[in-house]
Amino acid sequence: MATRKRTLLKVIILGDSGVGKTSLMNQYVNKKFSNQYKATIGADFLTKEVQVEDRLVTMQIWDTAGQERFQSLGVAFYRGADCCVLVYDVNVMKSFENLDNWRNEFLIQANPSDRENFPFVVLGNKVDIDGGNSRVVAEKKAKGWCTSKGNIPYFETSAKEDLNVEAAFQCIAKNALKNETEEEIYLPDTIDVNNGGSQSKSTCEC
Amino acid sequence: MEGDAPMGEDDGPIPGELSGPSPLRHPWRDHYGFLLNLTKDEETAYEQANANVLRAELDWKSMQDAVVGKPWFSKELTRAYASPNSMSRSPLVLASDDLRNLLKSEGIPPNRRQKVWMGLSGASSLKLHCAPGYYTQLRQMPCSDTDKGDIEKDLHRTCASHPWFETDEARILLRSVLSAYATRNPEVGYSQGLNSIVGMLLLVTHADEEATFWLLAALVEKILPKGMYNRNLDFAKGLMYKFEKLMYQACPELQMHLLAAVQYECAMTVYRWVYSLCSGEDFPAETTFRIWDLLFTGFGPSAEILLLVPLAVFRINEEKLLQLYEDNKVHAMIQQSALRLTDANLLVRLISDGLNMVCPPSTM
Repeated sequence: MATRKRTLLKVIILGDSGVGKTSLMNQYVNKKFSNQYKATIGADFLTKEVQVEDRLVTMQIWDTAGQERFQSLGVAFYRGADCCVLVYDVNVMKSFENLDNWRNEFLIQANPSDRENFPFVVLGNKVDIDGGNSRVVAEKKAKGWCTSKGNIPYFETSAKEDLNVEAAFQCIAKNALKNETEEEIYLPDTIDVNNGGSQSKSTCEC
Repeated sequence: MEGDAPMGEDDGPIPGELSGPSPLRHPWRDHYGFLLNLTKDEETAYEQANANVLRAELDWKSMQDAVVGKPWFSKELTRAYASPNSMSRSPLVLASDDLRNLLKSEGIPPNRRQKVWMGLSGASSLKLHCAPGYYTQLRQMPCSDTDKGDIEKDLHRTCASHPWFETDEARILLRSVLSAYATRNPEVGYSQGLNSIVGMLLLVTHADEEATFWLLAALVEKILPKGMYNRNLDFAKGLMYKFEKLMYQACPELQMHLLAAVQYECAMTVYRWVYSLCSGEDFPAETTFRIWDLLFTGFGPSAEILLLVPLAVFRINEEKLLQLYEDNKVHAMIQQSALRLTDANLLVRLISDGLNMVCPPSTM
């Protein structure tokens, strides 16, 4: 068996109930869309091998519960996160207004060592609905919020139409990798022969 | 509405009603009307499960007088009716060996469930102690905006693999029962998980919304651990500690493996299954109902029964899990195994053994 070391990137997806967290994750990992994903209770996860520049990494994407009462169960999974994805529905103002709470709650619970520079990515989802006619959160407004929080990268997505999903997760992977700690998972019978690739310093174009 | 079958007239077998073995189709339709994508082997397993349902039906028919007329049944009923106060929780502990054995070998047949569950869980008693028209009034009162919004978001994603739940009729019933219950019990309001529970109950009661409402009330107020669905979710905080203890008692080697080598978080599966009472299409419908037979008849303490389900699934797969080192593979194996757990007798036996382990009969 070939020696193998896997670099694990842990990504947490947060946002109100029904904004499309599970759909985004499934569109990205399985290339599938269904409008019938069950409500997530607690948390769930999927993994995907991704190429980020010259490195092959395993992205572990954690999908969390959106309903308020179940948030407290989700926090147990925040530990060791390398990037946090905040999702809102461009057609629901409240889900945008809640981004602040989600971000704060994450910082309190995950307690990352460098709070100021912890990588977040914001996704405004469901831009396909009604051809954009029912949207209530303007792109400019969302971008303004992201800028005010330390230039958080922002994407407008549609999990249903597979719009911008790949690009968003590429950016998520890059940012997670920049933040990645030394924590690595060794599979059994592994001999550490190469010490991983060089850490890339590139910024993502977003 | 009452008595209406929850499916279109020529839409195949009515859930809970026996119509002989369903013809093989793709996707495959189970006894309750869920559409499933099965492999040939899985179809065979489902057919066996269906045969078990039919056998249970015949067995109960032949002893119908024996069940409803038997002294132990009326004794259980009297006990259930003796605690009219909805908030006083007197855990029913089933005394009759006859019923315990039936629950283990074949469960309650689908078209008897409503009656037996209503009687033994105390749901009928709750209903009787309310003024006539109580439910009708309740369903006309608005619940809080937050609950209302949360309910709406979940209507289209409840029992999504069952065609009836795509109909307006089903969604209206789901909305009414969930919203009425949120109004009755503001400490709980609407919690995710209740949606699929109500969905499955509607199948059992043939879309009788009032019976569904009272069965839900009995679950939350009499059967399940106190405060389980409350907004603060305090109950959940001790849940994983309990589960880890069970794992340690039952399969320490597997527990060590999952914790240390795989770093698998059992919690995500445990929370999900416990809060949906193993429904939500995570298990075959008949298996979900066999677990509910145990809850509604007071087979044992509900928290333990619910935790023994994930424990059983881990144990069934123990050997294979010990060979896995990646958490995503472990997760997939557990989910898949639950989804295909058609052997409800095996599951109930494991739960029963587990109950003997956590609370030996002498202490019950």
